[in-house]
Amino acid sequence: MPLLQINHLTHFFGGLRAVYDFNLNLEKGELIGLIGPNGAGKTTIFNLVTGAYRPSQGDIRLNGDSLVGLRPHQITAKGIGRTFQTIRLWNNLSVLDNIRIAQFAQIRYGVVDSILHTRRYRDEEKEIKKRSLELLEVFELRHLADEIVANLPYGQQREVEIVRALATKPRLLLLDEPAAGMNPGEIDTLLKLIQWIREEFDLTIWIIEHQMRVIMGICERIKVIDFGETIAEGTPAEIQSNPRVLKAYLGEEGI
Amino acid sequence: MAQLLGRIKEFLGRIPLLAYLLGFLAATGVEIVAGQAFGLLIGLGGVPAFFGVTAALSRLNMDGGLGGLLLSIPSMLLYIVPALVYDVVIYGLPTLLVGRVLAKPVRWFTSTLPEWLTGLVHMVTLFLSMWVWGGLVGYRLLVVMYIGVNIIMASSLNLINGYMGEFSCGHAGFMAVGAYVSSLLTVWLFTQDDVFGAPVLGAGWSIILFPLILIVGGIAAGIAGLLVAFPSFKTRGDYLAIVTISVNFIIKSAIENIEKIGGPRGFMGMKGVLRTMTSVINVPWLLIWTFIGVLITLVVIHNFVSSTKGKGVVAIREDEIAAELMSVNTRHTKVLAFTISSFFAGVAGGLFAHVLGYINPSTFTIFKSTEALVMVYLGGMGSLTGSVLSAGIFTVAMEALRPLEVWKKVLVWLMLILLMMYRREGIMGGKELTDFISLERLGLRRPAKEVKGYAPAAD
Repeated sequence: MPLLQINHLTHFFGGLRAVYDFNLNLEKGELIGLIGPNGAGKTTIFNLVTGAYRPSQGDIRLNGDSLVGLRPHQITAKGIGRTFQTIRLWNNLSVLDNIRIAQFAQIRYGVVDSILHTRRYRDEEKEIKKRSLELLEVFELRHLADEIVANLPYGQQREVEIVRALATKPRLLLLDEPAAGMNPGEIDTLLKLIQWIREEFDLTIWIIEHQMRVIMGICERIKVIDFGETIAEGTPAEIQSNPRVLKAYLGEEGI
Repeated sequence: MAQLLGRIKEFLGRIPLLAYLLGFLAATGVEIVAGQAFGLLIGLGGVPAFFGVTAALSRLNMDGGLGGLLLSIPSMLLYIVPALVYDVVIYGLPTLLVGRVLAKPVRWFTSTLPEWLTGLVHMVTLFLSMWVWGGLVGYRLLVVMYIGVNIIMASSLNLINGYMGEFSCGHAGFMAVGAYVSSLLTVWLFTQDDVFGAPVLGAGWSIILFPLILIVGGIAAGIAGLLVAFPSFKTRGDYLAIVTISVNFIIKSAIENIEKIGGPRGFMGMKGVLRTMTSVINVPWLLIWTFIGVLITLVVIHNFVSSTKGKGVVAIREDEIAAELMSVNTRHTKVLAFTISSFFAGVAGGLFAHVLGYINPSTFTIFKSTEALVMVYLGGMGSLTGSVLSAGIFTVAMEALRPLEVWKKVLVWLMLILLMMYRREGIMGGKELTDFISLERLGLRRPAKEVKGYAPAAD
């Protein structure tokens, strides 16, 4: 059974058809890309998968369980983590707090435990803190644990956002334009990082990217959409020579 | 000059909090023994109720136009000088002297106690000094209890407006629910009343049941809080603010229209409840429960917002969509925050009703809610110690400036305007007092053990 299965996903914003008949079977361990020109509906698909929007039609299944109608935090708890196109960290909180809060779904203690500081509360909090610091350690961010996120440079904020997504214990990681605003040097580091976390955390990764060089570099399979419709699918080499893709990106010949 | 200031700062900094509290307790003792005589001697006409501030301001002639006002200023100044002398001699010197003398013994004493016990000792000392200080002039005790009620109001509202970043301006509505529910219960159970008839339970029960009834009032208010919590799933910001105002009005109008509990005329009889309680054991029950209420409020809110579960509240403030997408159950968290917040507003209402002895619906209008808002913003959003400070400052200012009559309001709100212009983040600016003065310095926590190659005494 595929890890993620999307069938005939269609979504309208009022009269605007943002996504039309999108299908995908994502096998465990794959690293695939979703590309398309601006406004093609890429982020909308991520928002549909993570439950931020409820699809107009179609079905999304994770390990065979339908995700349609679930609230975003429930979907995240089922194992889909994501980052955002524009960084959406909790800016005035420390790095550590950002990572801690992302483990909200793993909390088993109740409010009363938190108020009375019961043993259960202390054990769980200790565990959450330990895990957060370990994660930060892995990314060599531990020394920044108490730093307020807003004070970090852009590149580190991107990293913290990835760590935060990993803190939710995902099986599938959705990266929404992770290389946005990065220079070529930073992009190379990022690509290595993505491949490394895939191995390290045994993840399936789905990347939205605008820049061809990112996606061509690491994706095994690519889907291209334009105006909400899938126009091509295949390996990076196939995509690069696909006339419909070229048309979508570069426009009609002879203009 | 700078050197002198540094010296003073160092001198004051070396005295732990407990020594200051004991010093103040000693000062109140001095006041009991010598206050009246000293006050007469230096021409204050006795013990000034409020450090002489109120009495000084009441020298101002507020009815004689600008000329009368200006002409009355010298008489105010003539009062201020002896009042300052009184404050220094009766309060300042004994506090500092006793504080300085006790600094070392206190540090030693607290180092022998576990931390929770140290905290308790501080609380008991603070309570005693308030009791003694307030006992001398009844009005002071009233102000102290108002401060307590306002601390509960401000810090519980801070959970919503400061930590969660929503703008709730209907806090008085929940206060009203708590006030009415607990008052009705106590009056019904413990007093002879026109509406309810003879007391239902014996006087002895009043001692045990009073705190439970406050909690019942809080629970009722917490349930009323759902009126805001559920709409908060769909709306936020300005729109939710409108919802909170509406809820405030709905609660007030509902109470106004229940004739049985007095309708717009209000409800009384809570003084009788207190008489019943003091007839059993004669201690200042309300002061005790206000004190404990404040403590519990602060501990609960502090512990909640510093847990990972409670930090979900802050994540909602920072970015609600990201919070929901990063596994925070935002609905659950909002319900929790609104319930906890209105629960404590209800408890504050119950205390307030019994302190005042009389409540009517128009006490709990949006004006009361605004006062709570002012305290939250004055102290700083997301700072509990800020709320405590600002509740103290605001309450005292409102009371001390009473002689200024209408001008009091102008002054207080002018202060607020200036605050918003020049220090929008409030007194504490989102930080806690302990970020500036460490708990170790205050003597509330033991200094970290120095590692010197040998193990400290075994536990």
